[in-house]
Amino acid sequence: MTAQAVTVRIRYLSGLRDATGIRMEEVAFPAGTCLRGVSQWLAERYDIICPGPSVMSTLNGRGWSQAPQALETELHDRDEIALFPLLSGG
Amino acid sequence: MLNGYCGRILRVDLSRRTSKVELLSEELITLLLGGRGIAAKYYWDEIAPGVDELGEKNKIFFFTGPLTGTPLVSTTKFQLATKSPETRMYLCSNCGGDFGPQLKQAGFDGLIIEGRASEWTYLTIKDGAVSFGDAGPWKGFTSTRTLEVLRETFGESKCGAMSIGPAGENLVRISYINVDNRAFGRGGPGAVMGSKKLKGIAVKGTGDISLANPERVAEIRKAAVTDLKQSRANHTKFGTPQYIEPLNTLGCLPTRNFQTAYFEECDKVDAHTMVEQYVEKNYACYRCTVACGKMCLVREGPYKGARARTEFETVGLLGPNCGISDFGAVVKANQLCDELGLDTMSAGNAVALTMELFEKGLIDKKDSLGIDAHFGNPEALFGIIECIAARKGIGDLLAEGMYGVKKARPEWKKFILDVKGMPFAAYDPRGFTGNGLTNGTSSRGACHNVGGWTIRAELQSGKVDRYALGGKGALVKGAQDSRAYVDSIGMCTVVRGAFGFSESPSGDVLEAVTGHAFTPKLMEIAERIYSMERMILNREGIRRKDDLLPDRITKETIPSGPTKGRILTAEMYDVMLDDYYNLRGWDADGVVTEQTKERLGLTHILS
Repeated sequence: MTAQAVTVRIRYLSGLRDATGIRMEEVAFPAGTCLRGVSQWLAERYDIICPGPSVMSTLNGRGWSQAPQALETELHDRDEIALFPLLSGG
Repeated sequence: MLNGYCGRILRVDLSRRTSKVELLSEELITLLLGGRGIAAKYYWDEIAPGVDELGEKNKIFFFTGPLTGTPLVSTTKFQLATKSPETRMYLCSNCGGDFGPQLKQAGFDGLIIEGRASEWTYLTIKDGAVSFGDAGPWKGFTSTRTLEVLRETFGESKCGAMSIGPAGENLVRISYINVDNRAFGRGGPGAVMGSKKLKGIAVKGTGDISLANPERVAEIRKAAVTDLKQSRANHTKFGTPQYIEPLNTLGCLPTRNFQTAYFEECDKVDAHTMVEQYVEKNYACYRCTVACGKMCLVREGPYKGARARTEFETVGLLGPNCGISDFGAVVKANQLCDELGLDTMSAGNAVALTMELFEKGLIDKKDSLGIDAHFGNPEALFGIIECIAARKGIGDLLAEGMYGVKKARPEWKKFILDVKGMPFAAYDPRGFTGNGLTNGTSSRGACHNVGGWTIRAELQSGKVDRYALGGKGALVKGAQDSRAYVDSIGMCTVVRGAFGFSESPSGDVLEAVTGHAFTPKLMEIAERIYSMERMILNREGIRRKDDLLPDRITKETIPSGPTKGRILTAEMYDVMLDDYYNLRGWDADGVVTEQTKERLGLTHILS
C-alpha cells in the first residue's frame, strides 16, 4: 500500500454475501477516490450495480446519497462501506 | 357495482345465530376504496367510544379490497377492524392466506361478526350458505389443530379458514387470529374472537370475480412476474429475515429489551444461518410468485422437530431482543406462539420486559414460577410464553398487554417499549428518527407498517438523513398514506412496487380490474382514510400525549455498537411531531381540524 492510498472496509451483508462470496474485505483505493469510484470498482469486480434498484449502500452508517457530496464524496482511510439488499419493511 | 367488487357484505350475529346480506355502497367504495378504508368507516358507525373490547358490543369487521382474489400476484390480503383488547382503542390489521380470496369468491366484500355465542361455536360459509357448529370439543385445541379439524368438518380442503388457540380462549390481550397459518397478529384480535366464543371460521367460494379488462389484467400480471423474479430474488431466497444483519450493522436491532441496538451474536440468528441450517421449504401466499415465507425445521439438538415460518420481526423480537442467539430456540418459540395463539411481536416484547425485570431484581423466581428469567435463556423464553398463554404467574399480568402492565405497575413504565399500549417492532428509533415518528403516529399504536415504514428512505433519500429531524413529517405522512391505500386494495406490500403502487401511484392496475379511474386519486383517498382513523382515535380520547415515545427512547442513549450515544429526546421528537401534525391538518394536540374534515370529505362521509 502506498502513502497515497486509502484503505476502506467493505461489508457485504445478507444476499450481497452470496454475490461476492465474502463477508468483508479491506480495499486500498488511490487517494482521492470518491464513492463513484467504488461504484465502478464494485461493478467491475462483482457485477454489483450500486447505487441500483436492488442494492442499498452506506458510508459510515449513512446512505451514499446523504454523504456530503453524494457520489462525489471522497473516501478517507478506515472508512466503512456496507452493502445489502433492498430493505422493504418486515 | 364496479368490477372487482361484489357489492355485498355478510353480517353474522352470533348471539342469535342469524345472518343477513347487506349491500355495499358504490359511493363509499369510490371514496374509501375497500379493505382498511371501508372497515374503518364501519367501525366509526358501529363501535361507540366506551365499548368494552371483550364485551358483546364489540364487533369484528373483515373487508377485502378490489384486488383481493384477482389473478394478479399476491392478491391475498384482507383487512380487519375491531376494538383492540391490547390497546383498548381502534385496531386495523392486515392478513394474507386464502380466506380473503375465498370470501370474495363466495360473493362478499366483507364479513361482520357481532354478538356473542353462548357456547363455543364455529362458523362456515359456503357461497351464500352460512352454518353454525358446536366447537365445544375443540376447546383447548391449538390454533393449527383447530384449522385442521375445521377444514375436515367443513369438508373443503381448499378453503379459507381462521382460528384461535388457547390464548384467545383465555382472553389474552396479545392473542392473534391464525388465518391459513398467516396472522392477524397485532392488537389482540384473537381475544375478541375468544370473547365471542368463536373458535373458527371457514369459507369456500366458487364464484368468479369480475374484471373490467381481463386481457389487460393478464398483461399486467405477466410484466409483474418478470419484474419480481429479479427485484425480489433476495426475498425468495432469504425472506424478511434478510433484514437482521443489515439492521444490526446499522445499529438499529433491538437487543435485550432495547437496552442496546446491536447484538453481538447476530451471526447465529441471521438469514444465512436460517437458510443454511433450518429452511425446509418456501411458503407462498395466494397467487404469489415471490414465496418469501420460510418454513423452518429444527433438525437436531434440544429443539429437534420444532417447525415454524419465521419472519424478521419474530426473529428480532424473540431472538436478540430476548438475548437469544440460538436460531433453533427462536423457531421453537415461534411455534409455541403460533400454536398457543400469541402474537410473536408482543410476546417477544413481554418476555424481554420480564427478563429485564428479573435481571434488575424487580421480580424473582416466585413471580416467574421458578423460571430463571435471564436474557439468553431459551427455557425462560418458552416458559414465559406458556405462562402468558395460560395466564399463570407473571404471565397473567403480561396477558393484559403493556397497557394493563403499566396500569398495574406504573413503576415499570421506564422499561416498557410501547406507544398507546402496542409494543414496538424490531427497529430502534434512536437509530432512525423517522421510525420514531412512525411509531408515535401510527393509527394502531407502535407499528412499523401502519405507521409508515421509512427505513429505506432514511438511508437512500438525499433529503432526509437518518438522524435528521427536518423533513421527517412529510416522509412519514407519505409512507403512512401509501400504506393506507395498499392496505385497502387487497395486495401484499412486498409486491406493490411491481404494480406502480408507490407514493406516486402509476399504471392502470385498478382501472383494468375495476373500470374506475382510482389511480390518480389513490393518495387523496389514502389521506382521507388516515385522517378518518385519527378521528376515530380522537373520539376514543387519543391526543398528542398519547403519541409520545417511551422513556428508553427519549431518555437513554444507546450504550454500544454503531449507534452508540444516539438518543431521540422528547424535544427532538416534538420538532417532528409539530411538523407532522401541520402537514396532516391536525391541530397542535393531534386533533383533526374541521377544515381538514371538510377538505377530505369526512364531514359528509361520517355524518
